[in-house]
Amino acid sequence: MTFNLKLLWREFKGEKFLTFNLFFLLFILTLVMQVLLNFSSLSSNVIEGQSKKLLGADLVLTSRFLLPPQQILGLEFSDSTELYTMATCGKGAKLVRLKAYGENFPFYGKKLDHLRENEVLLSKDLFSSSCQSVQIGESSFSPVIDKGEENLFTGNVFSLAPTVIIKSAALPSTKLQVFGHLATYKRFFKVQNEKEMHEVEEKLGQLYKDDLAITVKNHRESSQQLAASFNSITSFLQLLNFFSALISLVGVIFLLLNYYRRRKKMFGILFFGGMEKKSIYLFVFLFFLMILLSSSSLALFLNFFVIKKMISLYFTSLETMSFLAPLMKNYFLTFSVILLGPLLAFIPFASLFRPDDVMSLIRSIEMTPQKRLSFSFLKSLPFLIFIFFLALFCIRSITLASLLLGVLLLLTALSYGGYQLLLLLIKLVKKKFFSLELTHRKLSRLQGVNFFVFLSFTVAFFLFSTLVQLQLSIKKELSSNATKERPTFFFLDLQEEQISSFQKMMKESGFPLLDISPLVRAKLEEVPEKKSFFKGLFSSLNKREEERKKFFKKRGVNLSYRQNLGESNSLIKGRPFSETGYEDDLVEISVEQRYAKRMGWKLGDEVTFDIMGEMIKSKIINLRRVFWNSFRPNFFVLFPPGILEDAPKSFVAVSSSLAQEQKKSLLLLLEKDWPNLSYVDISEVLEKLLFFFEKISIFFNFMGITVIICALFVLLGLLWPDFQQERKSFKELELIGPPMHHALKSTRYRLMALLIPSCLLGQIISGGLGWYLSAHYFDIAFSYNVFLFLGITVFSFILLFIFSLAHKV
Amino acid sequence: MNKDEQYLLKVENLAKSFQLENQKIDILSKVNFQLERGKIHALIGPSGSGKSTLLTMLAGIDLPDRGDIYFNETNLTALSSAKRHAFRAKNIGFVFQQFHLIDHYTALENAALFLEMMDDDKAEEKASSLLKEMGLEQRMNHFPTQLSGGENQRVAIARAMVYGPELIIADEPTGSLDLKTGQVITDLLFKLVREKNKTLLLVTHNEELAKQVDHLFEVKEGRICDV
Repeated sequence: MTFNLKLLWREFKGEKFLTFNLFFLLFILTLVMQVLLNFSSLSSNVIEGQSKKLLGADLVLTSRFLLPPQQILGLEFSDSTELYTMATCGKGAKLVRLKAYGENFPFYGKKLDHLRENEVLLSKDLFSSSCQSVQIGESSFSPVIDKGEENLFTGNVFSLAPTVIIKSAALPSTKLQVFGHLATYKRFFKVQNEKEMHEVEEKLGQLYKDDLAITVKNHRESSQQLAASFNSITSFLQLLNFFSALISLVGVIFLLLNYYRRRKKMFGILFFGGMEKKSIYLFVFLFFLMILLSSSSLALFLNFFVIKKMISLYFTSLETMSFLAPLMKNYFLTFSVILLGPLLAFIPFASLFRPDDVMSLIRSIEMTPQKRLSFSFLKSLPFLIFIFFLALFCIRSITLASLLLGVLLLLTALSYGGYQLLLLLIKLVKKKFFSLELTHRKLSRLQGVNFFVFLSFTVAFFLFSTLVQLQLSIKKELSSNATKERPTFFFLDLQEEQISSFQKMMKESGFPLLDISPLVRAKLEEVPEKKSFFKGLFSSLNKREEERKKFFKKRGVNLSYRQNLGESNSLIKGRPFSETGYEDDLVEISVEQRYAKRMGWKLGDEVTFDIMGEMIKSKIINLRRVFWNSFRPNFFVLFPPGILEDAPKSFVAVSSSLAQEQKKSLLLLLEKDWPNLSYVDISEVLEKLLFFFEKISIFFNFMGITVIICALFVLLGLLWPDFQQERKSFKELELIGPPMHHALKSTRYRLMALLIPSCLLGQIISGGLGWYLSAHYFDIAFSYNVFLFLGITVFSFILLFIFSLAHKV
Repeated sequence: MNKDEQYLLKVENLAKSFQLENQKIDILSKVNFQLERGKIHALIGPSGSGKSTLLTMLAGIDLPDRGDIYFNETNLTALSSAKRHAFRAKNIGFVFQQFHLIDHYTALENAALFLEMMDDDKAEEKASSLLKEMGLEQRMNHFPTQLSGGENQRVAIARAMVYGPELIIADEPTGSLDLKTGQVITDLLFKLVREKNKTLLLVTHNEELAKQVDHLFEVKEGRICDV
């Protein structure tokens, strides 16, 4: 043990450059992986946390009638009443949404304990002038300004309408709760865990199965649109995580291979002196482990502060966020990945790792047959499997992990073909130029090393180009939501008979009307049974299946109908609606792909809906992708026209973002002529989302630059030892006499042959992958950036120039 | 001393061939010779005659196709790879033509390396004393790149002898040195071997050097003959 420690100490002293390189690379790798992992989990926590806060509870039951007090599964609950009324402050009067909250509400977010029975909580912008008392119904209240404006949003996701809050106990004094006055009654539940939530939902579904006026909503559903937008960011982070891990891993593996090449003689001497093979392996492993331990610990230390800083910067309202546990979990995950990756990557090279190669220490070994290095797919399999699991671990999608692995294999095959083609081309023109002849000799006789360099360049350019393209596409997509053409103002509960007059009013007032979609409330009556391969083998799985079926039954779902899917939807499987709208006597339906996946539905499945007691049997004829970032009214289930027209329904209308003045005049109109309409202004939510994205763009760019630095390190590391060797050869050649310019030119040609085609190949494939990922994974429109293509190509020429200069020196 | 005790190493009917692509090349066939305990032996022969191949087998690195190698009572060819490896490490010291010192270790660290491997607490002390004996007192903390060829070879000799192996195999120890330095190194090696009563097998092309040894063997057409 003492001897091993002595050796290790000498190794750190003797290998300062390698130690620093490895330390830096591993530090960057662990830092990036940890930060991204933590940031991903933090984002999802924020989405969940924010939506919980927006709803103030885990589950809410909404009814048009007063709900009788009834305990469900012994859960804590709180009731509220919401109604539209006029609030008068001095000379100003406004239509407000009055919310009367019970005790203990909200369960999440800022408590309302400070509010007294004679007080009303309102926004400071509600009335233009201040007043001593606010008249609501027959009672007057002292105004309390909500500074954080948090409680005013609580209980109603996306509802940024003028809301005022009073205590439930104060509601009778207003005398507003009279027969005929339209009110909404809500019961909020605090549910500890997800499993309980399902049970409560099911119980509520059974209790109120015949009452369509009652809807159940949980905080997850409430944040779908917001979550969909965040999903793009989180997915990008996951992809960035995988790519940076891959780039850095290639660097680490290369550095270690290089280290072994240089240390082979030392290992031979150690073996000759009696050190056992396993001890030598252990020594190399300990050397790597110690660098990994120190670099990752430093990364962990920094990460702790990065995460803290992030929370303090962006998520001030998340008071009870425990981040140390996920931080440690992510640390160990990252650590295992980095330790396992190089170990598995070495398997194909295991035959080279023979510390007993002491023959080479003795002169005249020409007569000893040398083993040829041959590539074995089987030996590479563990590393390929590892790459797959790494992708799966980072991206959490089997399809995407398989796709990325497939693309990497394709890239290898294409690079090999490209390399052979390159050799052929140089062979055709080499006769005219001596320098090219030298280049061809080097490229064709040292094929293994040169192809590895070519492939590494291709992969690096491919990853770099894909990342930047996706980042630009996501940024473009999210930023375009801020434009005025994007829908941000939603009108709910519009009745059929009101449509024509509503359209007329909008047109006359000059408010843009982007879309009107029908909305039909239904409940799932019969869902397709999920076919399990293990059915019959594992009863526990069947039990889960039954539970799942029971859970989905009676679940509420919003339906709509239209002939064409619309611009924010695209068909990915199946066919469009037929003219009749029926197939095998079943109504054709179109289902959003992620919803279908979540529900376990596939093309051809039959689903029965309960619409006001009428059962409609349907068949899924297509699956479609919804571009949620479009913020258009989108529905998980679409019917063809001619089926739901007679069902009880309301309409959702959307307008694009309005100027403050326009908004005011529209609200006055609504107050006067359209009292039944609810409206939602998501422009502020969108602004918050964009603000958030702008903030994390800085983070994106930092990570992007880090990945590029890593890639450059890898590229330089790949070429540098070869350069050193060539310089030595040149010096020897100079002594003999051949002109140096041939040798210098040949090196430049070799660099050019390796860099430029790999740059083009990597970028072309990244274009294909970028398009696929944008369309099928991020649900965003892909726009190929020609400037990016040119920029990266110019970058490769600059790299070529720098390498040539370095070589001259 | 009976006849068995007189010889440290006995080689009997040793043969070795290599398959080079489709051609079988016989390097050594029916090789028989003995190394006398405490004596200095030299092995000469033209390049490619099989000297290095023979050395690898005597050192237990490689195995012959046929024949036996007895080191004292132990038949090296009958040992497993691991046991052969351990046996060599303990009983055979090796001096290479190219020194093969570890570049980032000092002269003292290089010389003490094998003793440290054996967990000898006095490794550095013993190595330091031997290096002093070899005139390297002032150079002990220098790295191989800071030492001359002769100094490097002296460190390599110290490394091969410091842990007291019975047999020292020196593969052209003066091959990379000039004539004068080569003679100094040879004198030092012979002196140490004689003082410490060790057995030395020297592989050389140098005929002058070969004249100074107790026994001279020549590898000729795959066989060994006494000269």
